[in-house]
Amino acid sequence: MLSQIVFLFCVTVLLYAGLGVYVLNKNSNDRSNQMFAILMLIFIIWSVGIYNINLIASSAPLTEIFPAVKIQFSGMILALAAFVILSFSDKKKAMKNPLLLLIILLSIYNLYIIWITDITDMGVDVFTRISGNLQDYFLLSSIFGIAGIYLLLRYYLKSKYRQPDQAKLITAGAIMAVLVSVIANIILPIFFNIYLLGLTTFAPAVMGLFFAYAVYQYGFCIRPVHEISPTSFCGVNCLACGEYIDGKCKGCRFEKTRYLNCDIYQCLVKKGCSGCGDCTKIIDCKKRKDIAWSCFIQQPKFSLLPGTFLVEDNGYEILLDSTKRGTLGLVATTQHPSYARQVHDIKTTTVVWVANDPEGISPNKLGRLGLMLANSMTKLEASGGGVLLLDAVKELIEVNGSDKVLNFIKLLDSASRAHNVTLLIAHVGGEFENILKKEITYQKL
Amino acid sequence: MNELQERNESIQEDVSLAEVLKLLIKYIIYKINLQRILFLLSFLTFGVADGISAAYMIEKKGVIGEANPLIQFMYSSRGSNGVIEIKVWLVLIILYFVWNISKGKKNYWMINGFLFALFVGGLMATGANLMAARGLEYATSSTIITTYLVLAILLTLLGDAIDNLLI
Repeated sequence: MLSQIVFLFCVTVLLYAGLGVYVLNKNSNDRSNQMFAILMLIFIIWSVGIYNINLIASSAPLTEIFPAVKIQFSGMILALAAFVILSFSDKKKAMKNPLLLLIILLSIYNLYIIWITDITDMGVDVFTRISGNLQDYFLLSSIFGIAGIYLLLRYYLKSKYRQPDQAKLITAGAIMAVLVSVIANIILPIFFNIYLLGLTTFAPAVMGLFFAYAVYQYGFCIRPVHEISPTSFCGVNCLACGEYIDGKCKGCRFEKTRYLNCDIYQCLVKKGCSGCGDCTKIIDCKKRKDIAWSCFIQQPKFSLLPGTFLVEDNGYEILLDSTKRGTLGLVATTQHPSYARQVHDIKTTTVVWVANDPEGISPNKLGRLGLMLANSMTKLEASGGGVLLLDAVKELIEVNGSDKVLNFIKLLDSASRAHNVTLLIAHVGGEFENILKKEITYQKL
Repeated sequence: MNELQERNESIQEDVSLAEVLKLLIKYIIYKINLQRILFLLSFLTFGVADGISAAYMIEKKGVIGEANPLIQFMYSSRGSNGVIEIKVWLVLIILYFVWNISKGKKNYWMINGFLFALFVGGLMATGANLMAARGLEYATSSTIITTYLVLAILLTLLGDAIDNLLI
């Protein structure tokens, strides 16, 4: 019996301390979280009182109670100390606080006292009598337990971020805890004169276990949702959207044509919410997951202008970044097109293969290659501009010599300016690159 | 002439001391608010007064008079100092935690409610210890624990409701 009480006590207080710390670390500035943490602290104090009374009420001999008391007190000290220390969001700063250091020192001292105290130090009348009526404790404890459970549920249920499945789990835990409390603390002692000490201590543990499982399974109801945006209904951050930055869109809240055609807006009108952040089903909402980012245009990582850019090894990355925004791309490379598409993830980009192969253009036919690329630039211009990556300069120099390739690049450079196209020349290195830098007007990223 | 000079110096010293005291009082009045008073009162009643009165009561009546087994343990192990030490540790840990989450004004009344319950619980426990030591009829620990817990819940909630109205 004693080992059960001690085990349940340690599990319960550590659970409450853990839950309080977890919630505060999620967002310590949220009032609901602060309230929840205070409730957890009150529950710890309540558990300490109730389990202490139960230890004495067990009427076990001192030789049995003494080790149980040691473990229980140690558990209480550890739980409370951990609760306070870990609830600080900035733990390094907190550890410099002299008051916290004093608390830690006192906690260690208390643990030391508890474990060095010998049973011979205890008097004969220690742990023998309960002050007051045992039935009063049980009755009042159950009333407080039910009130506490009600409050936790109330706070949980009014949270706008709660999840339906998690709510069911917590409600089930609360009902179980209330049932246990009523049976063990009211029905059995009052009507049948039966005191089941193990059961009386079980109610707070039940609630704590269900809460902990719900948190483990679904996160926590008071999880901050960061996607809420003043410019969109679904919560997408328009400040990072390319169209918003370019001034093409003000955000759907201010664009009637956009929001009237959006299913998310229609859903919000039906529910009477001003945005997805007000909806209790936000976390599980499939509609939001499917639609929310459909109109979001990612801001390009690289800012490209018409003309020539000498790039390092990131030519494909720049090209991909640009094509993701809808810009057309073209690559001239010595790599096989299917290989290049697979390796560089340029699945929809046209690839011109520079190779001695019937499917490609031979590197020694510079004129033909130049003509083809210049024509492609004309087509890119017609579609509003594009990006051309030349990733075959080294091979072209090996076959044609540097003078011919230099003239070839000069021609492409002029064409790119004329046709509003960005020309990316992959890193060549050596003397040729120095000459190239002198001969053409290139740009840097 | 010398006498007059000494007198003047003495008056000057008195004035400066009075000014210092005046400034100190002004500073305290400027700094103090209801919440800080409640922090202090909670520490004094729930920690210090309850600890000292519990130790006094145990010395008069023996450990059997104390309901809390932790206090019984500490008294048996370390005497009165152990009782006061564990009480001060407990109140420090509670108050430090509450202080940690009390920053900002959005939970001012919620924290005040919790602290007031702590203060009342401390007062009741101190009163019961002193009455028990004198052999008078005193409130049982079940009454004190329950009153404290119910007050803590009710006043914290009430404070929260007030904060909600004020925000």
